[in-house]
Amino acid sequence: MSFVQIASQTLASSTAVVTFSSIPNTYRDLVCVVRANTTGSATALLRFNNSTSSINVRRNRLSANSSSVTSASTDTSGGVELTYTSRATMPNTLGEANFLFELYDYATTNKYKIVLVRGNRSTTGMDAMAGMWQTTNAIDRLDFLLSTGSYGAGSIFTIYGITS
Amino acid sequence: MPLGLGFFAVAGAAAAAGAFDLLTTTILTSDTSTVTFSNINNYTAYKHLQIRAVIQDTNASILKITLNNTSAGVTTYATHKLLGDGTSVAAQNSSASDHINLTALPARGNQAETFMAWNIDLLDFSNTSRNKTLRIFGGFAETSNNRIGLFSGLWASTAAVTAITLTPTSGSFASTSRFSLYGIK
Repeated sequence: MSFVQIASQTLASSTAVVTFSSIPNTYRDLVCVVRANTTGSATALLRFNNSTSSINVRRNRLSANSSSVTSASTDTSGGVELTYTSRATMPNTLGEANFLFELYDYATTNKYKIVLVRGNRSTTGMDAMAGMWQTTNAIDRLDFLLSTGSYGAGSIFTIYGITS
Repeated sequence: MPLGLGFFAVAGAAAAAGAFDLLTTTILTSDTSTVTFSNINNYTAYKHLQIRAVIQDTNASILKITLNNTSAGVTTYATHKLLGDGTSVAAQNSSASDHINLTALPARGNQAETFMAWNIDLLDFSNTSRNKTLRIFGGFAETSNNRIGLFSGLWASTAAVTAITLTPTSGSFASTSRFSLYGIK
């Protein structure tokens, strides 16, 4: 068995930051599945090890809506953007947005940390993204947050470990 | 207010046993020109295969895939791809090719710690009444170089897959690149 649920949270009330800490280093990759609504329009972010330092986080995305497909990249220090800011705001209807993140070699200390993201926004479009946290630090904590507001009650966050 | 659980709300709840299993992993200890998963036909318990790879190239060359050690010059492969480089989008294809043609890998000389992540799904690999199709997702995000891609690959053969070979078009896979093969029931 190589695909194991590590933890899952279903929010009982609105929550600004959803944290998974003390993530064991015994897996090769992590998979995170999110089905979320929000208290308002916002951009979703994924932060590693609760770091807001100057360590660069780069994101490269490919996004499509009903009429166009675009690509753009950004550098930030606060976390990997999981949606395209100007268009891919999180819908505020429960379950309308779902995202699947795959974080590779998260416990190694000889590679920058890379995450592939597939996002589906049923009313506004879809995204495929690569994010890179430009440090070789092992990851033991993930924080899901928003540019503004909170995740709504009923949002579900689940992380899985893949062995190797 | 941050939830700040600090620990897992649910720990150790397992997925269905044995539906997604590690078959083998290779982590390179030196630069290597080709990685092949052989004897695939032994994995009879599985319907589909997934390669999860974290790859760097010594030369920023293109990743290609062949099945069953087909010869150079065959015309049985095709690829379609949707690529983003952080600025523009491109849709490309190759047909009547001797390999599945993906996209350029990050070069060790640019940022030594940058690797490209790949999910490569090979569907119905042992079925002898269907041509073989692959669904592929890969990307990386360097400071001055980006790639995100969605790919489909075709091998126009109904032969059961016995080997999967990954090769950079020039150079070598860099040391510490990782290739893991999983079976899906």
